[in-house]
Formats: sequence, structure tokens, C-alpha cells
Amino acid sequence: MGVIDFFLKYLAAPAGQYRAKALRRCLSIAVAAQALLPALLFGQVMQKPLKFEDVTAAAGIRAEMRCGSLEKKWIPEANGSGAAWLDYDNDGLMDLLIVNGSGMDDLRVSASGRIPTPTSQGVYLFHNLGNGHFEDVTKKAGLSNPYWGTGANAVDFNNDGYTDILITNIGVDLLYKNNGNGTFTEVGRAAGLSQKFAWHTGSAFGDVDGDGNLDLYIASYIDLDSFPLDEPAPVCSFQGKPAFCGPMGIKGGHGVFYHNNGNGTYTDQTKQVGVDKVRPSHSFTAVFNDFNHDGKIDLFVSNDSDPNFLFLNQGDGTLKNSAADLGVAYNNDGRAQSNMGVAIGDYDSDGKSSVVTTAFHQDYFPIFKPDKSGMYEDVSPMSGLATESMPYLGWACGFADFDNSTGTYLWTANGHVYPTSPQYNQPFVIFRQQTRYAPIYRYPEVPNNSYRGAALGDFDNDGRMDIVIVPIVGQPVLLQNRTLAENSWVGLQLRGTVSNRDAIGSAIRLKSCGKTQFSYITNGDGYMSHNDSRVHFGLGTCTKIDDVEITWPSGKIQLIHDVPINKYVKIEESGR
Amino acid sequence: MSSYQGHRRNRIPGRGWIASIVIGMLLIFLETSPLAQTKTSSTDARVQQLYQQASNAKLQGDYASAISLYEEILKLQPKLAAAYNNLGALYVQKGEYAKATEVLTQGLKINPNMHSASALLGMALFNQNRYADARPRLEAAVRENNADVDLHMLLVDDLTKLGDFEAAAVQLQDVTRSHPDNSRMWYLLAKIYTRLGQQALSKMNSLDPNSIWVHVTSAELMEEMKNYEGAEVEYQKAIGMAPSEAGLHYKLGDMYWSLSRWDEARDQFRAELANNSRHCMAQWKLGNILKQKSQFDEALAEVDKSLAVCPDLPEARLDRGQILLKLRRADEALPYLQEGIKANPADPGLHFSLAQALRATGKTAEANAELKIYTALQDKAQADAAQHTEEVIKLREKAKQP
Repeated sequence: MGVIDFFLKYLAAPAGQYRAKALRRCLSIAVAAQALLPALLFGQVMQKPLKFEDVTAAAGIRAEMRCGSLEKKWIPEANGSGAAWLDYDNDGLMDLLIVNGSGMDDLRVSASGRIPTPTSQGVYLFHNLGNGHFEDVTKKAGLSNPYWGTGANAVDFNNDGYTDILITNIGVDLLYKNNGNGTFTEVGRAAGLSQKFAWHTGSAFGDVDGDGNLDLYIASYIDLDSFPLDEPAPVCSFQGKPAFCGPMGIKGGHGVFYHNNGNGTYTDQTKQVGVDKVRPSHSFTAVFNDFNHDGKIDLFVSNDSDPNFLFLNQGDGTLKNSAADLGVAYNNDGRAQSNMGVAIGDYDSDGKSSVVTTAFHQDYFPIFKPDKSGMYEDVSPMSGLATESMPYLGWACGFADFDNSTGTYLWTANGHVYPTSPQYNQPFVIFRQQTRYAPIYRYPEVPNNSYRGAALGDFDNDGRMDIVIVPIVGQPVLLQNRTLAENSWVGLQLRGTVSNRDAIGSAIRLKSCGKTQFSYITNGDGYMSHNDSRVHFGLGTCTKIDDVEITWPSGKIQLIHDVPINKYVKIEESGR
Repeated sequence: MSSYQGHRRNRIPGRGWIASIVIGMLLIFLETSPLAQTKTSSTDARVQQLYQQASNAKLQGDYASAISLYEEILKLQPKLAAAYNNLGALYVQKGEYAKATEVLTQGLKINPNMHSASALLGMALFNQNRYADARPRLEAAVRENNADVDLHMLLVDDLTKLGDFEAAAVQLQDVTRSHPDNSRMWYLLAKIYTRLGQQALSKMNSLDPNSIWVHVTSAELMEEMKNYEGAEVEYQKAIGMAPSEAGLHYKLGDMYWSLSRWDEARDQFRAELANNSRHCMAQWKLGNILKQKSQFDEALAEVDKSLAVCPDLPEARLDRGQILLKLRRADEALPYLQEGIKANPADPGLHFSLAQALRATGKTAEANAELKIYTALQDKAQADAAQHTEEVIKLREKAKQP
């Protein structure tokens, strides 16, 4: 019963004239205050109940997801795969790439050195037709994946104006160069990517040496050379029930760093850059971002059951793991967790991005927040997220302003790894922090699948962020954001000229109606997926943007005025 | 005079101790035999000669000849008790237990104080499955040679065969006290305890198959064997029959707690505390669950209730420190954390927590020192895990080789 209801009932009761009059006066003040509240708070608190609609079938998205057997007797069958939003034909509409898994039999074929028969089900590319519908153009575009697909990424690696595709695999990674005519050509070998059979997971592009070209880091989960694939599957135990073995007790992998030579090729510089100076670990997600705010791009890697990595850019072409020193290797209890997905965002608008990682069921998702000294502290227990996240085993995650209220919501795709667990099916969840984090949206209400990858994107360009969620089995889910569209927004599409064309590594500050918001163009965050690379800001009821300041990876700072609202705006790096 | 007196013997695993008895006996035979002390008659001289030949035969492993020679000695000196002992030892070494029994029995009739003969007889009787007859002899032997692990083992075997698991457990407890690093003893003790448990369960079952204690014991046994589903069913049956019985909810809650099933554990601990508000372990664990769930204010309240009943409960004191730290009350947390580290210096998490508390109270140098210890412990743990993984890989590769 709200306050107003209470007063109405009070007024309805027999009362003296004086009391009723006084109460009516109070009531009118209360009602007026409630109406004024949004305006009093600079138009920022126009939070709407979030509403999403599953439009997968209506949009024409059909992809039969696969990740080994339903019994999950082997660990490769547990981790799922990802998706990417990309505008591959430069028509201003976000197209959708979904990477698919495979089965143990095919994995054994590729482990033996043979290539399994490619199937159209190894990868899907859906072309956005602009009317809420998509067309499966996988074959037309020349895409296929014979391996067990894990990660999806999409950047213009050769700065030719067209977005290319990287598919990481348990197998050999595939780099698809965009031909500019709606088709792609696989150039991995020619571009210098390793052809060795390996278990790769997340990938991240970033310009480490500042030469304007996107270097590449690919994370590795397990050292396949020492991982036996022969039946029968070894059986371990989880809470007394039989379960697949790993990752503990299985040798972890080593990530690979490729330097972009600027001519469409890469060179393996893992040793030279120094990312091999860490223990083999079970790595999932890699993200390039400026984590110590020194203007140089660094690399964060989330690890499963091992301490996380934070390779700081030394400025001399090398990266040095300083995760323990900076406080992001372990959680607030000093424990290494099973960290899967990574979200990067300035959720409290202090100008510095925090890092959230997902974790195992009955463990909590940490929030690593930088303090003034640059050290990170896991503030999850204090924020309420620790308590609220414990029921979930999280994978993909990210920050977004789903109702354009200028607030920052945290979303996570969840699902357990063991089919025997009663928590195997879990929902996609959105958390909001007011005083403390609390879940405010779940899809579906009654969990019916176990989710892994997910990618945030505005496929209908209406300024409301949609999301595609990739389950371990069955059809992906495309959730169209149908939250009431009363708030303003803006989307910025940055194009580097001196900097890499995707502007990865840019920092954006937006001022509107006295509020300042910060965002960053990162790559690799989420979970083996790639979000819509346009930078989205909700503006609440504010109808004017004061200015936008962009710090490009090249170091150039650009201040832009008269930025229109409620549309996507292209901003090119000036001064080439 | 006891033919075994003054003899010192080292413990020799397996049947080696028999050989040492025999050798010792032979020496004593030489040293203490009346033959060594009296003028030798021609018979005595012949006995000495035969004895020497028997010793040589024994040393060469020719047991058959040694036996023949001792039999000849006994024909000449049928009252020579030591000869019966040595002959019996030879028969035991050869595995001819019936003959050993006959010979040793005869010898003990002549000289009942031959402790080694008694021990040998015990062994011979054991090996003929005459466990009840063997028992007093083996018990006497153990009393004489308490440090002999093999003798203890033999007696344990005998008691186990007789179904006297309690007595067997007593023997094993004795041995594990004096040989705490002998893992085989611990294994056997674990087996005996399991058998005792099963015995008790059978007894309970025969008294009342549906008593709550049958269900509780079944649950505990299943839990030991990691059959958590079965254990859960049995605990719940017991609780269903006696929901107010103190301790039952705690047992089930403890199992849930060990499995990180926090909500279910919490409910059980609360139920236990409703039956017994002074159960400080249940109270502490309730607080610990709330700490795991980051509900720190509530966790502190529960942990403080536990400490009100059991002020020295180390786990609760440590948790209090960690909770206070999470509540940004680092000053108050410090002494608890420092105390926890004294008890568990190898726990990296504690050093991490202490470092946080020291940093929060401005003791930066000490905080850094703690972080160094924490990092070193974490590095070691990771290195150990990596090494273990490598060893498993090597073993697996080795197993594949033809």
C-alpha cells in the first residue's frame, strides 16, 4: 500500500473537518512533489520498467546451437560460444554473427590433424534487412567453420573501411577478411595466424604500440597437447554427483599475442611482448582498455579458477602482468574465482571504468573499482551485487542504459555447467544499483535454458539497446528492447583516421544538463562476443547535449558541440 | 631362566622378525644352554655338533636339513626346551604350522616361560585359523614387545577375525600413537571404525529398524562415502521422526554447509537453534553463511551470539575479524585476524585480510609485508597445483607406453 493509498483510506474514514482539511493539504503537496521529482533531479530519474520482447522467430533468426552432448561428459561441452554485432555492409544497420560449437567426435577428427567436413552450422551470419527482419547470408557471404566455435569478434583489422570477422575455435582460428561486396575470404594462414590446433576462447583487438593498427590477443583455456580426448571420459565429482573433470587438474593454456604489421598480416610476438611470462591458466575473456589511466591501452584477462591477469602497457612494446599489484587478480577475500565474462564501464560516473567479472554459482560477481591511487578494490560485497549474484553462474555480462535514464544497468547471461544441477537452467538477468544492486529483470521468468555468450546491440536503431543471447543448446534469443521510449539518447559512431579505424581505445566524455557521463570503446569484453561498437548514452529527459569530448587512441583530444540527440552520429577523428 | 631374556631385537617388517627370533634363540641356545655351562658328555658333544650343523644348514637356507638335525637333537635330549623353540621357529618359517604347533606346545610344557615360543605358537595357531587359541599368546607377545608393529598387526588381524573390532581398534590406536606416520595403520584403523560402525548399525537395526538412530547412522555413513543424496534422505527421515531432537538439524545443516548449499544449511541451522539456542557451532556456521552471502551486519550478529556461548571458538573469532573488516571496522578486526594467522599461518586468505586491515588503519609497511607473504603463499599453491597436474600428465603418458 503506497503512501497515497494510505491517505485516501484515512480521508475516507469518518473524521473531523479540521483533520481532513489538513490531510488534504498534505496529500496535494505529496502529489505535486512526486510530479516535480524528475525535473528536480535534472531529468535523470525517468526510470521505466524494462520491457523486452523475444523477436527471434519474427526476425528470422534461426540457429541451432550446439555444444557437445546433453550429458556434458567433457569440459569442452560446457562453455558455449558467442555472437557479434557488426555492420559488415556499411548500411548503417547492425548485422548479427553467431558462432556455433560442435561435438566430441568432430573434435577428435580435428585433433588428429584432419579437418572435419565444414557445415553451415559452424557459424551464422544474418544480414539486417532494416524492417525488423534478418536474412541468413552465411553461405552467400562465404562463411563456414569446420571447427568447434567459441568466440566471435568483428573489427576492421586492415583499416580498409570494412568490418572483418575473427572466429576463435577449439581448432584453428579463422580470420575472415571482408571483401567489401558482401562476401568474405578466410585469410588466417596468409595473415600469419597460427594454424596449430588449440583451445582458444576470447579475443581482443587493441593498438598496443600506438601505430594505428589493431594488434590482437587470443586467450587460451586448456593446453590441448596434454588433454586426452579418448573415451571413456574421466569422471569427477561435484557435490557428490558425477561430473566432467576440470578445469582444476587440467593444464591451462597460454594466450597468443599478434602484432599487426599494418599490411594485412600479423606476427606472433607472444614472447617479445611478454604475455607468456605467466603460468598456464584457464583464460576466457580478454579486454583491451586503459586500466591505469596513463593513456596507453592495457589488457585484462579473466581466468577460470586462476588469478586474473592485467597486463599493463609498459610503453616500450611490452605488457607486464600486474594484476596482483593492482588488486584485480583475486576477489575481496583474496581468492581466485571462476571468472568467465568481463564488463567494463564507468557505472558511477567518476571518470574511471570499473571491471565486473561473472563467477560460479554460490560465489559472487566481483566489482573491481579503481580508487584515487589507481589501485582496484573489489567493492561487490558493499554494493549488494555479491549477495544478489550468488544464485547465478554467470557468463556474458555488460553495462548498458536500457531505459536511457542515464543510469547504468548490469546485465548477465547465466547458466550452470552441470546438467545434474537443479540450477542448470538460469535466466538472463539485469541488475540495477540504487542504494544497492538488485535484479530488476529476468528472462525468461521460468528458466528453460543455460545461457553463455551474449552481445548488446541496437539492431533497429531506435536508441534502445537490444540484446542477443546465445544458449548452450537450442535457438538463440533476440530480445528487442520495448521499454517506453520517453527519454532522449545519442549514439556515437567513431571513426579513427590517425587512430585505428574502429577507434578502440577511445575515451568519451559527454556533458548534458549538468550531468557528465563517461564511456570507452573497448574490444573483447562480454564473453567471447562483440557488442555494437557504437557508443550509446541515455540522456534522460535532457534534450540538449552540452558537448562531447573524445580522447582518441592517438592521443588527440577532440571537443564537439551541437551534437544532435535521438540519432546515431558519425564522428571522424580530425587532423589527419 | 627365560630363554628370551635379555634379547634385543629390531623391528623387522613381515616375517623377518621370526628370523631374528630364531637367530637370537640360536645365540641364546648357545649362551644359556646348559650345554654351555656343564662339562660335555658324549651326548652333549653330539648335541653341540648337531646344533652347529643345524645352524649352518639354516644359514644356508636348507630348512629341511636343519629340521632333521633338530629332530635328531630332540631324540638325544627330549627335554631340551630351547630345541623345541628353534624347531618350531623353523616349521613356522616353512609354513608347516601344524607341526610347529605340536613342537612348540611340547616345548612350552617343558618350559612355560619361553615367551618367544609362545609368540611363535600364537602365529602358528593364527595361520591355522585357530584365532581364539592364538589370541592369548599374541596378546602376551604384544605386552612383551609393545614396540613391535608387526606383532600388533598380527594381533589386530586375529582380533578382526574374531570379530572383536573394539579390541582391534585399541591395538591400532596404540600403534598409531607410537607410529603416527604409518599410513597403513591409519588405513586399517579407518577400516575397523567402519566395521564398528556397521556393527553398531546392525545392532540398532535389530533393536528397531525404524529408530531415528538407525537413520542418523545410515546418513552419517552415506555422507562419509559421499553419497549425499542418500544421506539427505536419511537425515530428513530422522528429523521427520524427531524434529525437536537436538543435533539432528545441525548434522543435516553441516552436510549442506560442506556442499556450499547455503540456503538449505541456513534453514537447518536455524531449526537447530530453535531446539538448542546454545549450539555455538550452529550459531557460528549461520553467521559464516551470512558472511558468504555478504550480509555482514546480520553475520556479525550471529557470530557474536556464537561467541557469547563459546567465547574461544577460533572459527567464530576469525570470522568476526573478517566481518568487521568488511564492515570497514578495520581497527576492531585487527586483533582477531592476527590471532587467526597465529593459528593458521599458511592460509593465504588470512594474510590478505590482515593486509587489508593494516592498510585501512594506515599501517602501510606492515600491510605490504603481509601482502608479500600472501603472494608467496598463493604462488606456492599455484606452483604445487601446476606440478601436480604435470605429474598426472606424465603418469598418463607413461601408462600409454607399451
